[in-house]
Order: sequence, then C-alpha cells, then structure tokens
Amino acid sequence: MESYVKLIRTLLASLALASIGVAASASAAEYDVDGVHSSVIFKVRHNGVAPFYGRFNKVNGTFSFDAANATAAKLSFQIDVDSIFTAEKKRDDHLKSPDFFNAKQFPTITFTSRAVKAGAKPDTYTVDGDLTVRGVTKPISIELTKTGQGKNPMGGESIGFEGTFVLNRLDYGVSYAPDGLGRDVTVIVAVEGIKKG
Amino acid sequence: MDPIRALLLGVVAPAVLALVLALVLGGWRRAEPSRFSATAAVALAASYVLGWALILGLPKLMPVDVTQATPWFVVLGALLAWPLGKLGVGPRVLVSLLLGACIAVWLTSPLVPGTFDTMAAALHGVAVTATFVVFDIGLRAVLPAIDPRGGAIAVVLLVTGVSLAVLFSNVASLAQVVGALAAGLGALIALGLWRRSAAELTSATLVIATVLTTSLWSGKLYAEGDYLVIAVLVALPLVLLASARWLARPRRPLLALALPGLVIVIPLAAITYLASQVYFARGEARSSASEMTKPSDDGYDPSYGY
Repeated sequence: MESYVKLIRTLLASLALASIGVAASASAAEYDVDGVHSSVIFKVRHNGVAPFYGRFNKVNGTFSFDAANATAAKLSFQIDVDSIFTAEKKRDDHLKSPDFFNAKQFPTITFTSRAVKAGAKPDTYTVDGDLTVRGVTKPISIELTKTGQGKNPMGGESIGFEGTFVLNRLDYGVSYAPDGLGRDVTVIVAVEGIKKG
Repeated sequence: MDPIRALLLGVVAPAVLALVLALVLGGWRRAEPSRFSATAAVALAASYVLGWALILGLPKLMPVDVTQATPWFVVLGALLAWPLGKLGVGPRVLVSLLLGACIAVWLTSPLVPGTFDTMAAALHGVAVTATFVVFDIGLRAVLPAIDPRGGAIAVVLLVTGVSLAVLFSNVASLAQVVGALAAGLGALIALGLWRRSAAELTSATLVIATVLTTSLWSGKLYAEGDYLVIAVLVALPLVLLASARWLARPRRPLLALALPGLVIVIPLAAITYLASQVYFARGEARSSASEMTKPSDDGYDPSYGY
C-alpha cells in the first residue's frame, strides 16, 4: 500500500514539474520575422577614406521571446545573399561572385542563437550564436535592444529589435581587396517580428 | 591592392620562383627537350601556388568553397607529372579523363539541386571534363612537335586570354592568380631563349589544364562567364594541333618562335574583345531593365504593402 502512495506522489510531482515547464515555454511567444519591415545593413570602409553602406533586401527567420524569461529566448534568421543591394548593379553582381560571397554555392547567410541573456539596461539583451557566411561558421555576440511592442494595424502583435555587431570579413573567407575594403564590417540588424497564431 | 604591390606579388615573385626552380631542377641542362622531365610542371605549379598564397592567402586544405581548391589540384598535377610522362597515349588519355571528371564533379556538385537539375549538371560535367582533356591532351600532343619556345609563347598567350576571360566573368581574384601562372611561363620562356629545353612544357600540361579549366568554369558556374568564350578558348589547342605539321617546319628560328603564337592570337584577341563587350553590355542591359521593367531587380519588392 505504501509503495502505491509513493508511486502516486512521484507521478504527481512529475506532472507538476512538467506543467511548470509547459507554462514557462508557453509564455515565450513565437514570432516570424517580417521580411518586408526588417533590415540588414552593412558598413565597410572604402579605400580607407569613407564608410560605404549596403543592405540585404531579403531576410527571414523565427524567434521566441519572453521578457520575463529572456534566457529561454531563441532566434534564427536567414539572409538571402542574392538580395544584396548597393544601388549599383555591376557592384552587386561582383559581390555575389566568388570574389566575395559566392552566392551560387552559398545562397544564404544564417544566424542561430545559442544563448540569450538580459543586459544591464532595460530592454537590452546579449545574444550569443553562430553566424555562417560563405560556408564558414563562427561564434558571435549581438547586443540587441527591444525597440517596441504592440498591436499592428492588421490586428496582430508585433515586436521589434535592433542590434549591431562587427565582424572581420577575412574570418569568413570574404578576402578580396584586403587593402581597398576594410576588414571590419559593421552589421546593423533591425528585425520586426509578427506573433504567430 | 596598389599596382606595384600587385605586380610584385602576382608577377615578379611567381616568375622568380619558377626561374629558380627551373635552374635548380636542371631541365635546361638537356640538349634536347624531354617529355619525361617534370621540371616545368613543378616550376609552374610552384609559381601558381605562390601567386595564390601571396594574393589570396594560404590555400585552405579541404576548402568549403569549390572555387578555392585549384592550388591542391595543381599540386596533384605536379606530383603526377613525372610518372605520367612514362605512360603511353591510351592510358594517358584515360588518366586525363579521370582527372577531368573529378574536377567536373567537384565544381558542379554544389549546384545540384538548386541551380541545376540532374541533366543540366551532367551536361556541364561533360563540358568541364572535355575542357580539361582538350587543354591537357591537346597541348600534350602539339607541344613536342613544335619549337618549345614558340609553344610556350602560344601557351602564355592562351593563359593570358583565359585570365582576361575570367576577369570579364566578374572574378578578379581568380583572374589575378591565373596571371601568376603566366608569369611562371614567362620565366621559362626567358630561360628557353638561352637553353631551348627549359621552355619545354609537355610535362606541365596537366598543371596548365587544371588552372585553365577550374578558373574558366568557376567563372561560368559561379559568376557570369560566357559559354561561347569558353568554347573558343578550348578550341585554341585544337587550332594549334591542326596547324602542327605546318608549325613544325619553319625555315627561320624567329618564325619558329613566333608562328605558334600568331596562329592563335587573332581568335584569342577576337574572343577577348567579345568577352569585354559581353561584360560591359551586361551591366548596361541590366541597368535599363531594372529601371524600366523589373523593379524587383533594382532592390524593390513589387508586391510591397503596409
């Protein structure tokens, strides 16, 4: 009889733990990246003289986020290399060639988070993850700021984040023109997410 | 890269290395050229790999980017040069076919599925293999029949043409390292003016074919190379082969030097001009198309809405 009571207690305790876990994960809302209202902009120094800006026009991905439990957040996004845009067609074609991104072999740039933690300031988060460019994966850290949250005109719920990080393009094999173009590339990511469901 | 530095790293250094290796390995000592000597293969492979290392950085072993594997194929070509020199025609063609097929699979496999379906990939694989075999076996057949210096001048013209074709396909980095091979060839030609056997390139056809095939097809498959340009460049060794009997009997030494190059220089100049025109026209056509009819090509989403 006592063994049955122990078994029932154990089962109840397991159920309680499981339901706490489910509740925690259920509170982390899932979002799709809104590609039309998200931006990936890069900046690189040209000829050591001036910063030059370009962008990728197509970005998609998903993330989950709960302000009360930031460590449970997850983020992954994909950038279509073919959508690179610098307002000069010949330069865009050159950027897609093996001199830079080799877009035919490596059509996407991806980022997948590994760990998220809340920053010292409100609405700031540090996202550690893996960035893959031209087939090379390296760990990076992005400082993200939550820029807003609320109902959108379509009736859904939106949330926005913005972050900046710097990478050495040579680390990813994007090594053409090491003197003409700076090695450090500043990337600005501004993501608008639309809540799923 | 500033022009002086580019010249030093991409031309002078590879040429000096080829010259030193050719002198040290001693192929020039022979009174007559020998196809069993691997001197030219080693010297040219070294000049190309050095040019690559100085311009693009040390080649990575097992590169993830398929356009970055040429230095390793070149090293393989140099290692095989001496043993393959002893093979008869049949087995040698078979080896060339096998190596060409390996390069073809290497270059085309990342594009399936996606850019190519299986049939398109197979057709491109055959084209890459054929390119390699024609460069390798075509040059191997014609070079022993003509003056080695004249043959080397024709090959350096061909390599220069390929370098320009790759440049016009929008891959300047690969074009630049093809130039390092041309620099190595230039060094052997200079040495060949003193000892003709130093310019004997028969052992190096595998190395030359590897550089030309991988560079041309990287430009086509992964950038904006042109099929017609590749076809004409591939035909040039066959032009030399078709004229071999005529080229083998020049009356004067100067003609022996100049004729092989003269045979291919006109089609080479014509196709280089065509490649440049295609390159510049492509940019103009796209600019007008993007402005007039295809906003999505200009970075704007035509289905955009709030």
